Amino acid sequence: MLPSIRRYLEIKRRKLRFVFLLSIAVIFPASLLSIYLGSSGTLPIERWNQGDPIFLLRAYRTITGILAASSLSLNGLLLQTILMNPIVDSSILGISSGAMLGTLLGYIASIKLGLYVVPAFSFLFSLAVTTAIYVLSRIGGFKILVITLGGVMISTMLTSISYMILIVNPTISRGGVAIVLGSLQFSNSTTVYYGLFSLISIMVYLLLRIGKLRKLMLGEDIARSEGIKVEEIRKESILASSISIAFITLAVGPIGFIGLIVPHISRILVGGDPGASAVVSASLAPSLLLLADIASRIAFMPSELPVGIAMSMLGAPYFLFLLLRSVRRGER
Amino acid sequence: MKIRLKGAIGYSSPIYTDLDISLSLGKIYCVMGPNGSGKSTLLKTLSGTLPPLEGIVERDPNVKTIYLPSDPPSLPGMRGGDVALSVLAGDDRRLLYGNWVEGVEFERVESFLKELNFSLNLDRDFEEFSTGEKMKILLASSLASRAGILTLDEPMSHLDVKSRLSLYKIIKKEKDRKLFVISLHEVTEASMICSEGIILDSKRAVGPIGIEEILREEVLSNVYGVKFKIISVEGRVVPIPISSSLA
Repeated sequence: MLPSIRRYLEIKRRKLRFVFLLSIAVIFPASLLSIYLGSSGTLPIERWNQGDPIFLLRAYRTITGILAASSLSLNGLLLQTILMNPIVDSSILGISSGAMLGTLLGYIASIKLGLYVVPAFSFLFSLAVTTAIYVLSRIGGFKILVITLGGVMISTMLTSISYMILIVNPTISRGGVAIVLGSLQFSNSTTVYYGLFSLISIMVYLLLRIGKLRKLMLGEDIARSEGIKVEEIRKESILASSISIAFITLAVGPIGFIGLIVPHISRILVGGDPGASAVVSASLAPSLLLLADIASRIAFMPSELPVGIAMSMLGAPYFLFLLLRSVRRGER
Repeated sequence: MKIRLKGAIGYSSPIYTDLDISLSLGKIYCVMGPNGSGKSTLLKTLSGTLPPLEGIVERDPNVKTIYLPSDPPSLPGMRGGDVALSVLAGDDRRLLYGNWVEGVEFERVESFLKELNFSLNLDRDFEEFSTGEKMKILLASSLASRAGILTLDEPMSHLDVKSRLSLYKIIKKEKDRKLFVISLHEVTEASMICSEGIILDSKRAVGPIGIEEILREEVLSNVYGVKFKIISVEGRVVPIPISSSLA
């Protein structure tokens, strides 16, 4: 059989169209389910109006979840691309934990300085961690294990500090430690705006730079010869991703692994092209997070779990599987 | 289509200084020399992957250049087809794959892959192909791309004999369309592909000069520190290494 590149492209395009339409279609029933079900029981349709506080809460929660899922998975995809490492995302690398710690410190500082410092703190901390990861990657020659283990350690350390702050100052968070685990329970109109900003910023960045990222995926040597300024694009991406992750962490905390799992499934479905996998990631992620959140809310009714726990239980074994496969294949 | 390199090359300290190398379309340039003599450094500098340590590299900014490393990069997550399409892509902002490629380029990739005896499914993970097969995907797509300058770092080293001969044939066919700079160790095959040679022997760089000037017993012995005997096979000059001592 002829190794037809045209056939490959045709199949991928057809799959892309199918997967995209299907996952967009699934978001709709998942959203309805997310409003209908919850830790305080089902919500009859006749109460579905803006005057109902539970409806409003669940609507905000659902919209925040959709925005957070797409944003986190696009950020995961971008980080995987610039670090040339398919088994990372913002949570594994500790960027979300950094933004979380920044948010908590921001809340403490805001007592004196005003609430507007909170996003600034969140951004500065996520930028600091992303930069640290980048420096670590360069020193470690972009080896998959070095980057990943380094990130996990940074994440562990920063999360511990966040817990410490929460235990010492329990009044910061209404939901206790839930926010450090990543949860949609704090959703309101503000988290919707944060989520929207986070998603739009990462989408615009990807749209502007997709051609260069595609070349970067071929490795540094080939990218450089084609005139791509590799360091420049990595630094830009770090900045863009730090902003986006800071705002999504402000909204939902550090929800883990969705940025790992979703881009990976996308690559299985439509291949490794960063553009195609970005489209699929952004459209596939919301349903996954909404379903995980619904399960977290109804599993132990009337109390609810932070969705971060469900994502970790799903994501950690997935990560281990990817790690083992990567090691067995002898990838860097 | 021209490249001119004036100055010094190297990473942190110069390997060669006062280089003045001019290359132009229509010839196939081969860079030869022992390990560590700076072949890859020269190729990377000519292609823009590495800036010259001193001086300048003049290339037409509108001409695309591709440098292929001697070992295919590790590209986890990519399929064979993704790699080929990404090489063909311009670095424009198209979101989805394939939109930038013209039908001609597809046909060319397919015919090159066929000529290189590549018959596997491009839907497989790039990491699962053998080194030679990965190289064939990269070579076929670079050759089919709109790039005007191809700097290939030992492109034949992972290929079997038949595929190597096919590669030489393709490159010769394409030489009026693309400027080729190739580094190679296979002196016995040099006359099959090169028209000009640049010799690097760690002390100085010579060339580009006609390949027949290089494929001589005394020149090769000096460069590689190995005794050579030149034989002629069907009109082709073939240097055969005889012994590792010059005496």
